[in-house]
Amino acid sequence: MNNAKKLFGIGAAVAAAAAMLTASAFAGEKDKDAKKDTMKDTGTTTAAKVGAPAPAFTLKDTDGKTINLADLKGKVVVLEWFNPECPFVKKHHEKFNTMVDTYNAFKDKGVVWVAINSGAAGQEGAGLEKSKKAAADWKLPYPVLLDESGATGKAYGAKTTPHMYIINTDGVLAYAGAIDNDRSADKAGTVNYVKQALTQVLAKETVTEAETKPYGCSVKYGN
Amino acid sequence: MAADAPVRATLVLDRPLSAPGDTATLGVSFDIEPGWNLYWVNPGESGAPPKVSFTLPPGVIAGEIQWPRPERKVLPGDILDYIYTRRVTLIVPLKAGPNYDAALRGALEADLWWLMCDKEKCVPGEAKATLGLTSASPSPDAAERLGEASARLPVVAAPGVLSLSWEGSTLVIRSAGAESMTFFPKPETEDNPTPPKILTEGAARGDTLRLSFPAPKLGPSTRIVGNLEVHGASKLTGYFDVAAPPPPMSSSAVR
Repeated sequence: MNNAKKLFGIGAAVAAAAAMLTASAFAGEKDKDAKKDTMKDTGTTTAAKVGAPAPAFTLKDTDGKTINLADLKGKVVVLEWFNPECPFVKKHHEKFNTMVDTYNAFKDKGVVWVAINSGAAGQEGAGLEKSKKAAADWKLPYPVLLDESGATGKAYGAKTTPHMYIINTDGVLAYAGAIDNDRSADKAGTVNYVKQALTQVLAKETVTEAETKPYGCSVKYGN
Repeated sequence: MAADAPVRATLVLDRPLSAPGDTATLGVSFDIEPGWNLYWVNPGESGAPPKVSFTLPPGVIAGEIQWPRPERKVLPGDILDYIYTRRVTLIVPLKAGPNYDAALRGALEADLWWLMCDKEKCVPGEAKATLGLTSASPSPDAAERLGEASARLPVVAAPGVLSLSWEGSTLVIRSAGAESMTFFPKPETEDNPTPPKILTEGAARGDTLRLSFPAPKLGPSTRIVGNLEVHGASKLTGYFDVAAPPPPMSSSAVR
């Protein structure tokens, strides 16, 4: 119990820090309550759920073209949460070509792929110019959509870049989670969850791993 | 690493390893600029913990990293992270084995990688650091860093301080006299599922904290592992290891 004694004997400075910790721990709760109220207006009380209809969105890509999810009904749609400055996004677009390779393997099978940048104005990697540059530098064969308000990101409960979602031909969310099973910023995974789930969705099979824990930088929402 | 980098890493040691059988405590210490953070062993919903790999002199054995108490932080978008700010020292026990020879004046080499984030961005950092294991007594700075970190390590709760019980598929943690409690789940595994509602359930006012799990995630090999921060009388009163056995199999909520 030596450590315990130290813990109890640590004096005023640490007690003050502890009080601050309590305050910050509950700040999140309050934020959440406040947000719940505002979310009622839009009818979205919780984030998207696997097995439920995917939240609607209409967003502009870096060329100003509007993309409405409803118009893609009948296609399988992959969403890739995106921030070109995030080391985990760079891993899959610079060190490896995971995203584009996966897209290329499925593009002729009725799969539409979009990246979504939910970074708020002023955040690293956010906005039109940086998204446009990344799309050019990385020769992305699919559009990057801009969600600077973060509304679409929050409707999906997107937490990380990357955070991956697959929507089936019925508009139902079939997969949510990580791109692969290596959570590091520099090593390739041995299982590509999106590839695995896409194969199963296209074959109308049950997705065996429909939810995995995403990894990466936090989505840089503004509020 | 540049002096103005957001995070700087140093190695510290509490005492030299002079002969076989000696033990020492190594600290991998990070100074973190205001506004920036590193991540706990379980970073939460975003981020990544620092990675540490050692090259050790012959005969020296390193134990597992011990992670000091982090802070619970909720980011915009309800992203729950477990972070370190200002300064953190990861603790690594060292031991000189039978074939250790101090006359070789061995040094430990550490390869460090970390992800550091502020509210706008995340940037990786890395460093290589070397520390002689036989030389001189520790600096006051080393002692301070190690002492501070040791005081932030979890301890086994004395009998009666915590009670763990299951109500169906809800784990109920009670600590008599607590004003608030925060649960820090260890990294998720099949046997250690993270409670899906940890954002709201993981920090509770009062003497009871409830963590609800989907029944199918619980089974005979379940072991809910984490650390619990307890506050009472407006101050931190304890930081404990929690390892909850599986719920009773007779419970109808369990498969």
